[in-house]
Amino acid sequence: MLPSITLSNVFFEYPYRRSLSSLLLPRHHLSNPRNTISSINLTITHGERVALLGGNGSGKTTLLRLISTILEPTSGTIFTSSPVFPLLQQGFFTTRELTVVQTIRAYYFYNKYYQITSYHDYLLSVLDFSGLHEHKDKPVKKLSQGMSLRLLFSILVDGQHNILAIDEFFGTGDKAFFQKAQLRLTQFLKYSSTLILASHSDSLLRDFCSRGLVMSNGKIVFDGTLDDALSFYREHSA
Amino acid sequence: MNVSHYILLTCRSWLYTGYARSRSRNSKSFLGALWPGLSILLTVSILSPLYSRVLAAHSEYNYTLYLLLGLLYWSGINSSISRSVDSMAASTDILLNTRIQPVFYLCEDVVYQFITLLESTLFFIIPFFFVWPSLLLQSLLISIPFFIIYVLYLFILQSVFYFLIVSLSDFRNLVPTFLQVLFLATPVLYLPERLGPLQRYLVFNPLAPLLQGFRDAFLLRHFSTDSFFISILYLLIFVPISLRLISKAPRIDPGW
Repeated sequence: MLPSITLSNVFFEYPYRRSLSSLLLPRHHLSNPRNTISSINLTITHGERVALLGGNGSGKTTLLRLISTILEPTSGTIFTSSPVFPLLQQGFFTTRELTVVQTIRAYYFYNKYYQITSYHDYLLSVLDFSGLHEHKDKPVKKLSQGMSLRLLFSILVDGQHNILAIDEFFGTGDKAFFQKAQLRLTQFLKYSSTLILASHSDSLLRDFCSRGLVMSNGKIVFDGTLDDALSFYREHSA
Repeated sequence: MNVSHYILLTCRSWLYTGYARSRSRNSKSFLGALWPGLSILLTVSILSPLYSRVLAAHSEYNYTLYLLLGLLYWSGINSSISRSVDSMAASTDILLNTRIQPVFYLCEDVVYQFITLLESTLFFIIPFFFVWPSLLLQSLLISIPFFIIYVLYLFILQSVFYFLIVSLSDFRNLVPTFLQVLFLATPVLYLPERLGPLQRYLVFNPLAPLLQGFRDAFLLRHFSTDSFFISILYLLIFVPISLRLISKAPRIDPGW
């Protein structure tokens, strides 16, 4: 099988917190780098579905950011056979002052959906799915948290992407919407050929993944089948 | 992907979000788009009688119009620099979790500031347009190159300040001081002639020649070639630098 993602000896550390005064100080006086990723060697083949397990601060999100090319490694190389679509954010890229319609339009332009569909069709599909027709002229900041999440979900979980990197998916509003959202998410994940999914939900991981990686202190400490990875994680996190 | 390519690829999106932000600001109040112009009018009506005696005696310019243009010009510069501190902090989470590059927000803000400048300018121009249509049209045509340079200046300022703010955590404390020094070093309130022999040093402040170009266009209906070429020279130096800085700027860690 051809590799979709290859990480070779990848190291990453967030930059030092520099300040004007620290320019005058030697390097050891600076705050320590945090959330480091060290010595990651990993190959994910085309069509593989990988679960990423680990406690908070273990480096899962940073690894997903690296795989998605949001961050560049401090050293080492990352190869991806096609662009990785990251689903990591929990907010809109636009200001919350914009109305629902303006926000949908901004995503329409940013994701270049104008190459595949008309704005009117796209707007209707998002409003229909999120059920926000009545609130379409309200600024996003005036929506309830549930409505806001419905809108975000409807915008982001759309289209087909070859490689997906997903972090701990957010809750999706009320019960009625939750069922609809689960169905959409299932279809969305099925369309992708390669998937890296970080979650604490065993059932979600079992539904979509066959391989499991366990991370601790920025390192992959286990790599195997999902069942073995879940057992390893439970044993070592207890 | 290099920064220039990214700017071009996403231009429909940041043009739209900048425009939508200004519309959303205007929809908050009945006077909407008139507010920026009104606030400048208020400032001019208070400062003009006072400063015209102190700073502009025996000038060839009408000091009220001179000050008005200075404040219109300065308001965009001031907002751009001030906002580069806040708008970036607001988008930290997005910058760390999506492939959106910081330059997207800089471009969006430049569009927003430019629309604000146009709204303020039109606020003053439209009433006079009925009185002196041909004179104003002439001034507007002459000033077009300076408007384009102004937009690029806003981009340069935002990029440089953004880079410094994300690279040095305590730099933001110096931003108000920088703004104050820049304001006093630019002839917004005073006439350059009042500086005497020091006037020649104004050429080292990139904001001064551009402001002079605007003033000559609107007050004398004269295209200032000196101002134009000096401003272009500054652009040739600073546009590549700012693109380089913005591509090297780190994404902010939200935990900081």
